[in-house]
Amino acid sequence: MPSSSLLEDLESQQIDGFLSYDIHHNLKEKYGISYYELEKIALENDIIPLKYKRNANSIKPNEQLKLLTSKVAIIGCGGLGGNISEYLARIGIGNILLMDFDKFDEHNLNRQNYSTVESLGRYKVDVAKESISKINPSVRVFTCKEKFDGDFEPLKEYEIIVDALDSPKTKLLLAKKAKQYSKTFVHGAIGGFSIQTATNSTLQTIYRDVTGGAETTLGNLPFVASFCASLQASEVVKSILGKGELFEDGIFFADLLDNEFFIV
Amino acid sequence: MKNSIEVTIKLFAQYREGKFKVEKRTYPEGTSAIEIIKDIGIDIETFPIGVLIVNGRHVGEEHILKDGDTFSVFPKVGGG
Repeated sequence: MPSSSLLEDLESQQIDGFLSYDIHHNLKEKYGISYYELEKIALENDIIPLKYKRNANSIKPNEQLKLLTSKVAIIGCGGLGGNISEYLARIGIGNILLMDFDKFDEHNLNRQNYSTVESLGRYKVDVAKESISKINPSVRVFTCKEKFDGDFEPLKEYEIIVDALDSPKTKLLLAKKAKQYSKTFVHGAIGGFSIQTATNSTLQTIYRDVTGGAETTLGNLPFVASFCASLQASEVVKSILGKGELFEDGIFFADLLDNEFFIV
Repeated sequence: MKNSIEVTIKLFAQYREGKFKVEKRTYPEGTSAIEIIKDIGIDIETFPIGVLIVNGRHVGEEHILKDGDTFSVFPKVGGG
């Protein structure tokens, strides 16, 4: 239970139901608790951190609390995972696991969020964690610098597993693991101007073998990566809140070259 | 003498280059999905096959097409 003086401070310092960053920070220091814990107490008392003001009525206060306490694992922190993690952090998902063994390389700069000339050579998940702490310090980011090889016990603790991996081989392994653990599985893949996404698919009809796809010849483009990442982030949020429609009955394909979009 | 079937073929993304978006083609009865893909001359070495759809349903490469089917061929994408 939060102390009554903390609640009194929150009550007296909120402005029109909103909690500014300065007050959030000061109260966190005063009571020796984390940004996350203070945010949870505020939301439980219908006080909205000001940073979420433009989530407005799309995300209601009780839903904002639900997002804060949710746990999402993002496997892969490249073109997809970098963007997905930022979107989820900004909207207020409170617990994010990032798994990627790789370090930023110069050829990542065309599309990978968080990559800069200064972050070259650094682990992607370390840079991501630092960046997220500057965007939304309430988010608890857990990192793992290993290559996903089909087995990763901590996934059991997360309610949603996001596929941001870069090969059909590992994507299939992750889909299998998500099914085994009965987790919501949000798939996304890109190549050239094309993307695909699907939720709770085993990927069996998408990948009949483990070889790479068009991306091995055509590479990956920035707006294609962020487009796919947006759809995946949207699937995650809707799944947590239990509202809207998911890409569960088919695979969504988009070809941004010919501007064609469909579900098959 | 086998009967022939007419199939509407839809190609997507890279498969269209130098080919077509939609075309009706005639094949002998019993023709499979992979036989049509090879007949069209799609470069599946460079752009491996992704999803195959016949009349809105996922099928395998050995699926036998019927007269009047619509067959859609998507290249594989697996990047992140």
